[in-house]
Amino acid sequence: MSLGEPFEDLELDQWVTTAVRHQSEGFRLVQMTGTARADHFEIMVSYDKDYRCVNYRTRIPRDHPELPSLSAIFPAAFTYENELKDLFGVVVPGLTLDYGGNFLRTKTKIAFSGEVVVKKGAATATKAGQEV
Amino acid sequence: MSNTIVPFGPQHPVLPEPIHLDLELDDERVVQALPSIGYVHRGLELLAERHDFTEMAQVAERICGICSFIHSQGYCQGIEQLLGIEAPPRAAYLRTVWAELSRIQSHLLWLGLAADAFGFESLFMQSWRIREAIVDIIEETTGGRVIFGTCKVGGIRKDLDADTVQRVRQRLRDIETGYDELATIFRRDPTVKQRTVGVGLLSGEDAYALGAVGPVIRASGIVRDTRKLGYAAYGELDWEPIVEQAGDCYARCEVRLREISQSFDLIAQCLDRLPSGEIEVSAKGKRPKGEAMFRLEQPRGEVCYYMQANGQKNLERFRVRTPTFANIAPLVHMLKGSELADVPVIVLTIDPCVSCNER
Amino acid sequence: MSWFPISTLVTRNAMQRPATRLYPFEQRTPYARTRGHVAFAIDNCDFCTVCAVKCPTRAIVASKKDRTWAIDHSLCILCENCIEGCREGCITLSDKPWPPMLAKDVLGFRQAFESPAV
Repeated sequence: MSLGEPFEDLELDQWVTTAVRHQSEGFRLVQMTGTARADHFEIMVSYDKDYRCVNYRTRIPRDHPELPSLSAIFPAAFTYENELKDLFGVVVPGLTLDYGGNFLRTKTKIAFSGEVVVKKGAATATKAGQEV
Repeated sequence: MSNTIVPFGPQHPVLPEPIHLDLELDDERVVQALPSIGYVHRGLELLAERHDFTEMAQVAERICGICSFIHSQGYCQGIEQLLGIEAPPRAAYLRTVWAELSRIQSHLLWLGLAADAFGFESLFMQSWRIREAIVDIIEETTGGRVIFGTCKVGGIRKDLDADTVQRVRQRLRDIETGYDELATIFRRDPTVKQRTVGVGLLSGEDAYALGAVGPVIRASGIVRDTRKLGYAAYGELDWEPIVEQAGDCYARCEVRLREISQSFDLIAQCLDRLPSGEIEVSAKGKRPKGEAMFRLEQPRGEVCYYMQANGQKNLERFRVRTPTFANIAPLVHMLKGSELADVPVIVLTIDPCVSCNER
Repeated sequence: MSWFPISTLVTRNAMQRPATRLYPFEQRTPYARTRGHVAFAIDNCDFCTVCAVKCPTRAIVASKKDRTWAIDHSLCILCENCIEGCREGCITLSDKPWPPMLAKDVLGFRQAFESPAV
C-alpha cells in the first residue's frame, strides 16, 4: 500500500519560511531526521494535516553543519533538534531548549555522523574464532 | 528562596526503563521539567545500514518488547512499499489480528502499571492476570510470548487453521467478560478517580501544537488515529477512533480502557471475515529502491518509519520515530505546574516506552 | 457503592484456587507452536551449512570438511531461519524450553566417517 506522500527538496533559506507557512495552515510537526552522506547531511522534516503527510528535505554541508531552529515555530521541535545535534553534530542556532549535547546520553558522542563502512573482515574473524 | 532540583529517574519505582527528568520545584510544585534520554541507546538505525533488508525485519521486531509485532509490521509494510509488492489479504487480516492482540496486552500491561503507580496492588495483579490469558493466545498462535516472529517481508510466516480461529474466538469472548469486570473497577473505584481526575491537564490546542500522538492526543478531544489511513485490514473494518474530551490522566486511562474493548471487537471482525488464500508473496530477487515514509498506530501512538534504499541489499537509512519520542514535549508541558506527588502518575499516563525511544 | 466491584472480585479470588502454578512441581504444557529450542538430528545432514549462514546470531557453526554441526543455545534467538532453510529436515523445533544453562556450553554433533572399504 502506498500513501503517495511527496518528498520535496528545499534550499536551506526556505527551511524556516516553509515551517511558518505550514504552521499557519494548521499543520502538525510529525518528525525531523537526518541522514549522513559523504559530503553533506540531509535533514528531513514531515508535517501532517488530516492524515496527509508532506516531507521536505534540505542539505547542510558537513564542514559547516548549521540548521536554523524551528523550535520557536513548532515547540515540539526541540526534541528532534537536540537529537540531530547529539547524533549528527548539527549546530542549531535559536534552539529554545538547548541541552548542549546531553539530551541523548550515548556512550559515543555524535554517533551517526561518521562514515558507514561494512566491516566484513571483522565478522568472519569472530566466526573463525568460534570454530576453534 | 531559590528553587530545588529533584532528580527523577533514571531508576524509579514507576519506571521500568531508564529515563531521567530534572524537576525544578518551587515548594511542592513543579516549575520546569527537563527530560533526558539515551541511557540505553542501541544504534539500531545504523544496524539497518549493514544488514540484509529481509533480516532486518527480525531486528525491527526487537526494537521493543511490548509493541514488538507492530514494529515488524511497520518495517515490513514500508519495505513492501519500496519493493512495489503487497501482502495478500489473508496476511493483512492476520497482521491486524496480531497487532490488535498486542495492543490489548500492551494496554492491559499499562493499566496494571498505572494501578501499581497509585498503589492499588490488587488491581495491578488482576490486570496482569487477564493479560496473561492474552499472552497465552499470542503464544498459541505464533509460538512466542513477546517476540512473535511471524511477520516477514511479503506476508506472514505462520497461518491459522479453522480450528484455532474458532478456539481463539471462544477464548477471547471469555476474556472479554473478565475484562469488562476489570474496566468497571477502573471506572467506579474512588481511589483511581482521586489520583487521576484533573491531574496533568493537556488542552486540545496544546496537544496538537506540541505534536502529541496516540491516547495522549485522543484524550484531549482530537480525533487522530493513524489506523484511519487504512493500512493492513483497517480500511475494511467498521470502527471509529476513540476520543475523550477532558485531557487529564483519567481521560487517558479511559481512552485505553475503551480501546481494549474496541480491539476485542476488531479481532472478532477480522476473524469473521478472514479471507482464504495465500499468506505471502515472494520478495525473492527484488531489491528495495527509492524512499518511503510509513506511519502506523502503535498502542502508544503514531510511529513513523522512514526508509531509503538505492537497490542494494541493505537500506541506506532507516529511521524510526517512536510515539514516546513525540510525547516527550507534551509531557514536559503537562508536568509544569503539577504537584511532585503526581509526577509519577503523569509520566506513566503517556505510557513511556524507553526502549522504543532508544533505537 | 463504589468500592463494591473490587471487593466482590477480591472475595471471589480469595475463595478460588490461586491462578498461579506451583512452578517447579507443576509445569505448563507447551502449545504446539511454542518455540522451545532448536533440535537437531545428524542422520540426514549433508552439511550444506545453509543453517549456519542464515543464523543471524551465529549460534550455529557447521563444517562440511569435519562433518560437524554445533549450536550454542545461549546465542540462539529461535528465529526459525535455520528450520526454514534446512533442505534435509534435520533441524526441527521442539516445544520444550532449553533448561537454564549454568555455564556457556556449545552442543556439538559429529557424524562418524564411514569405515573404509576393505
